[in-house]
Amino acid sequence: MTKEEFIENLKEELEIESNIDEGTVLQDLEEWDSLSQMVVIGFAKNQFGVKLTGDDVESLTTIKSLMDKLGL
Amino acid sequence: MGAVIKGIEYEFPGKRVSNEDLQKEFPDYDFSKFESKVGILARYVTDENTSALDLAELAGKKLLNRLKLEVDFILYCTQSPEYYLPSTACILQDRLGLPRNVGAFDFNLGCSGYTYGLAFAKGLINGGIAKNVLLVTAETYTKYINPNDKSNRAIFGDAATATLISYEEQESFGEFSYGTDGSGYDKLIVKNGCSIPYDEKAQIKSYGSDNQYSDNNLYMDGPAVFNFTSDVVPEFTEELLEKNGLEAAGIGQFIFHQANAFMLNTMRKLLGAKKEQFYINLKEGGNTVSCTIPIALKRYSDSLEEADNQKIALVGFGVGLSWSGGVINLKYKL
Repeated sequence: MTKEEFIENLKEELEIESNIDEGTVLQDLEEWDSLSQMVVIGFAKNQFGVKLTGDDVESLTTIKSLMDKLGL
Repeated sequence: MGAVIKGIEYEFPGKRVSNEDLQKEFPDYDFSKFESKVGILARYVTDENTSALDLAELAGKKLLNRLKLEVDFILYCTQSPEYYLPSTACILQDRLGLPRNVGAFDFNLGCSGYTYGLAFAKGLINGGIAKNVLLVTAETYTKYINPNDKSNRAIFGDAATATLISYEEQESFGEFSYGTDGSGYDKLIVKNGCSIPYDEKAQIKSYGSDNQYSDNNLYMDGPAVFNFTSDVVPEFTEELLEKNGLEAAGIGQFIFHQANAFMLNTMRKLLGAKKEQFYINLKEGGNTVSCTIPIALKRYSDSLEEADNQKIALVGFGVGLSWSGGVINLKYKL
């Protein structure tokens, strides 16, 4: 999965309406809440085989910080 | 000698709380996602004058009026007991007008409780201890939830179910398996009220999407429970199938604890089960803890033209942490 594909998939999974890029801060998104955090945990597990804890997800800042965690 | 499920009935309390109702109360949060992601349209909530036992009595009467079999054992699964003591099962014996020679006890399990109950019933019947076991699940988690905990209010609902498991010559119950990890005891918990007394001055805390709760309330670490479930349940289910000498393709329907649609879909994919083989339906009622599997099993049975003895894999998982599962043959319409 390329970085561009990742951002497109994330946008779809989280049903994000605005434009996002690597620098977008997750907490600034209207859609970012505990439900989206669960979706991100599931996405990381299914697509990357990476297990994120609640603390991992809480500590995320930008979309880039999530990509780093997933080794992208 | 064997056991078979003869019928199931369930009961929701009267008050229906839709996503729109919650939206009015919490205008800053988007509850439409609960329909698309979690798969819940509405949950049913008891008022202060209705208890889990009241719901259990209604479900039990509905079932026994229909099946008219002589119950000789009550297994009562609850984490919403009527009193500290006595066992709620004893009160239910009286309320259902059952004879004094029935056995009755409560067992304290949450989402894994129904499948545990089926395994107990199989044991009681095959051990020659009982012939008609009434398995009841009854939960009113909503009474434990802080009014300002919108996430848990949107997920959990109240319900009770009654299932009759009877003796027959032919065995319709397959093998069951169990799992326990008490190190995760605090991932889903009501801390106060037992060894630590209920504390009127308990501090209000925040978690997740700006939800509030105190140690008197239900607390759930959603990400931890989600990770536990997706780590443990698919592999557990594969082992369960192996124990039953089956492969996923041989299962007519997987009916898992209906925790939330997103989580169920994640597990379905990890298991490699087809959509039409994997039951997801919690739109009406939400997560009703140990009641979701019997409600789903009843709804699935209702959707069939006739019972065709297909194999159903049932798996419950959650608070404890605890999980259990088994395979049954659907011999009768429930």
